[in-house]
Amino acid sequence: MHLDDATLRALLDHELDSGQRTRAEGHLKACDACQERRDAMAARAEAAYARLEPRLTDRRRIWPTSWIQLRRRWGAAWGGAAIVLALTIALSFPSVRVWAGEFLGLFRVQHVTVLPMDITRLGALSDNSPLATQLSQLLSSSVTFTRQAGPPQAAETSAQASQMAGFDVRLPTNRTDAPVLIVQSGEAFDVTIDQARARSLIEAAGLTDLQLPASIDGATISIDIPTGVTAGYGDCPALEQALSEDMETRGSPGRQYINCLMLAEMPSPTVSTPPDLDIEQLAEIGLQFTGMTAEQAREYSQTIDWTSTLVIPVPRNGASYEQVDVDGEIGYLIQRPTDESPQFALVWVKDGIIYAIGGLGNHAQDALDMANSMP
Amino acid sequence: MRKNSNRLAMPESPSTEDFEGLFTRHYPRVYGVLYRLVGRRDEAEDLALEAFVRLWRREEGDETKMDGWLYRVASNLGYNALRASRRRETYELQAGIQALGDDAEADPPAVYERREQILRVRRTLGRMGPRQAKLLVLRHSGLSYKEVAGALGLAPGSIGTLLARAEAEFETLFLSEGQP
Repeated sequence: MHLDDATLRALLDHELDSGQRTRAEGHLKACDACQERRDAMAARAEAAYARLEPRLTDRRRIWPTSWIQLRRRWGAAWGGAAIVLALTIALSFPSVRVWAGEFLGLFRVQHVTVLPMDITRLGALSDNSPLATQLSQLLSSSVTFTRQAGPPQAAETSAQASQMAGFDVRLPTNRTDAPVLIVQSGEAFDVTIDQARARSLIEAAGLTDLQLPASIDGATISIDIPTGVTAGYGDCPALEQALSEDMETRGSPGRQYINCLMLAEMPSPTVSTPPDLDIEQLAEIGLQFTGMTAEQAREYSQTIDWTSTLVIPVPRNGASYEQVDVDGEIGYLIQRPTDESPQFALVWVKDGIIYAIGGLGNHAQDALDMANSMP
Repeated sequence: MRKNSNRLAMPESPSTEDFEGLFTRHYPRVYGVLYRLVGRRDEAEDLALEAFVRLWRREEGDETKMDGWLYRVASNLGYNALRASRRRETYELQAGIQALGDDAEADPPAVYERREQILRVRRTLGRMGPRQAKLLVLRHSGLSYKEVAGALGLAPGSIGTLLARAEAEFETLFLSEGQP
């Protein structure tokens, strides 16, 4: 008795329950005919997917010119600030940081930059340079916290973590070992832009040609970063402590995390801006700050919907990335293949939740398998 | 008589938070469904917004089935737009223009090839039966079998078979599109 098409197709889509899957896979091992049918079916599915798939730039522009359009057509009294979903994750792999905390840490430190930062510039700012000092002063004088993050808290189960975090935490089903679950509460803050200070910072960076729009002065951007959850699989010593440590003072990751895979989940942060603030223009300024010319920044900026796109700067040198199908979405696998301590990150967004799996060593395939087994 | 339990179904008493959450969760996929069907960003955006507006104005309905309703409306809007011959001429022309615009710096042969690919996919979908085309696009836009079944009014257990058939039909028709 061969497997029917429904079973084979559902097997490919991970739509069988565990019992059905086990039976189907058991049959497949012993049935060449079903294997051939499955392979042909997979090839057709892949071909259809590839042909139907929008181009990358189209996928990244998936949000409409935004809520404003909907509000206009809707006619409802929305009022208030336009809601944008924007987050820039600076994925830098700096050697002084523990990779395990990278994602959560960088989520936390998004408030230091609303602008996308190039890795090389980020690296320069990490040093105690005059520029870094000035940036620090600028931010410290312009950031007002409306909700502070508390210390990380441990959770016993995914249900408990979900309850604590306020969203459904999804864990991979292909892992039988219980993860270390840490819930990191979110925070919210307002950034008020002082044009004069920003101007002096830009001059300190040597970008004297860069023009700031007048509307930026006094503009307040409200950023709300939700609570996130980290699940550590494998050998993740002192995870809670590692996550709570000051990232800048943390030592080298070392080998103790070599068998640790970290899964981080967090709903998309929300960023509210004044309605007249031109996010694209702001993004262009940020891009110029990272070293692009005005023309390059404009061209690049126009390919991205800044109100919705999760932008992940990747180091130009020393890291590679590839687009991957993961968890039913398009994600990116970013790798830094150094001999001493190769690092990787798998990042995707599904149903408004940002997911990232990262670790040391050559476990990228394990990360993909984990992600694709998430219910 | 409107159902008080369905806050989203009451325009005069909008639950903007609920609707905002719904929009945030579903817009990318609704847009993805429509983009795959019509092949143009601007039209996909318009139709996606139309689907949400219709959802907002919906007066009756079971809130638990709202997702299925939304994707059913979206896929119907997209498929109808795809099949509308007078619009097809427009979108085929404009899809080509947009492709050229998107690839201002790309080499002309590559732009031409991509434009042809877009049109070929749309023509193929237009030749498929409505259910197969919508099922294929919904699934390849990331909907689960259960969600696809909810949107198309099918039994979840039938999706695997129907999807396999739709993919085979798509492949056959797509390849025949390339024949003179």
